[in-house]
Amino acid sequence: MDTVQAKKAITAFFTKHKAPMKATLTKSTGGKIYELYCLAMTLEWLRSTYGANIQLVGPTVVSFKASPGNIDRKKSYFRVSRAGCVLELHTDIQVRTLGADMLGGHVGLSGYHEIDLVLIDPAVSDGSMPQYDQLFLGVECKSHAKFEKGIVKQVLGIRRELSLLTDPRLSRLDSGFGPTRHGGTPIRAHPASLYWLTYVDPKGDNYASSPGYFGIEFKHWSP
Amino acid sequence: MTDEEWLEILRLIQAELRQVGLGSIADLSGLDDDTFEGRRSYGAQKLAYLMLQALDRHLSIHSSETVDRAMAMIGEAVAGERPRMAVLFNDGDDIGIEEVEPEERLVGDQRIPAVREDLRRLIGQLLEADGRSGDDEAGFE
Repeated sequence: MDTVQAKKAITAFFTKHKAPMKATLTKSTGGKIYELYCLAMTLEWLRSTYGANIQLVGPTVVSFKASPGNIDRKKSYFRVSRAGCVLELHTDIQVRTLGADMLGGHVGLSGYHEIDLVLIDPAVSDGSMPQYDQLFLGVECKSHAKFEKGIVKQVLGIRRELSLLTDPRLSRLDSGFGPTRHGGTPIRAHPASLYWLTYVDPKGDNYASSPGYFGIEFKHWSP
Repeated sequence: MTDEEWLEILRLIQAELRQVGLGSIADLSGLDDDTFEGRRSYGAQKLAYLMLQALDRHLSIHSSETVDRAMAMIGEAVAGERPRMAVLFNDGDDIGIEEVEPEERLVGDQRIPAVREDLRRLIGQLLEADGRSGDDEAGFE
C-alpha cells in the first residue's frame, strides 16, 4: 500500500462509519458500559480468587445510577459470600470519608466521594451511605480513551480518604473470605480496604508504581 | 513511506476524526508519554497508530459486543437467577431537560463491532505499508 492507497483507505473507513462514530458522542452511556464490563471482571475475580458464591438480589437487572447515591436495596445488587462472610456489591455509591469521621461533624460536600463499584458490609442500612470503614473493595472505572495523569491524582485523594497509611497487613477481604487461591498481597492501609483503578488505555500502567505503595492497584481492563 | 508521507496520513486521520466530532482523539495531547525529561516525541507514524488505537478504545466502550460479553460473564459468575439486562437509572435534569428516559437499557451500539473490525483491518493495512506484517498484532495492542 502506498500513500495514495493509504489515504483512500482512511477516507473510505471514515465515510462508511461516520454515523455510528457520531452516535458515540450523543450517547452518554459509554462510561456505564465500561462500568458494566468492570463489574463483570470484578465478579469473575471474586469467584476465581476466593471461590466466592455470588447471587443477584432484587430485580433481575444489573442497575447503574446516572448520579451517585446511597445504598438502595430496591435496586438490584450482588450478595458475595464465602466461609460465613457475607458482603454486598453495589454500583455508583457515595462513601463517607475518613476526614468527615475524624472531624465528627458536618463537612458538607467534601464528606463523601463516589466510588463506581463497592463491596461493603451488609450492615450498612438502606438509604444511607457506607462509611469508609465499611468498605472491603472499591473500584474506580475510567473509560477515557486516553489515560490522563489527573486520574492518578483523583485516586490518590480517595485512597487518603479511605484509610491511613500503616504497616503491611492482610486486606479485609482476605481476612473475611480466607486465603486467596493465588496468595494475597498485604497492603499498607488501615482499614485495609482494597482499592482498584481500572482503565482502557494501557498507558495507565506507567503510573502504577508509586500509588501501589499506598494500596492502590492499577488494572488495565480493556474490552 | 517517508516521514513526510506519514505526516500527511496523520493529518488526514486528524481531519477525519474532527469531522465526526472526535476532536479529543485527534488531539496529540495524551497520546505521548511523560518522561523525566519532559514529553517524548514519537513522530507522525507512531502517532497515527496511537490515534487509531485510541479510537478503537473509544469505540469499545460503546459497543454492543462489550455489553453482551459482560452480561455473559456476569451470568456465569452468579449462582441462581441471572440478570436479564443492564439498566441505567437517570434522574433529575437528565430526564426533564435532556429528555432521556428514566430507565435506559444499556445495550451498546450494534454497528460498532463492524466498525472495530474495519478499523483493525485499516491498521493492519497501514502496518503492511510500513513493511510489517498486517497479521502481526504486536502493532495493535
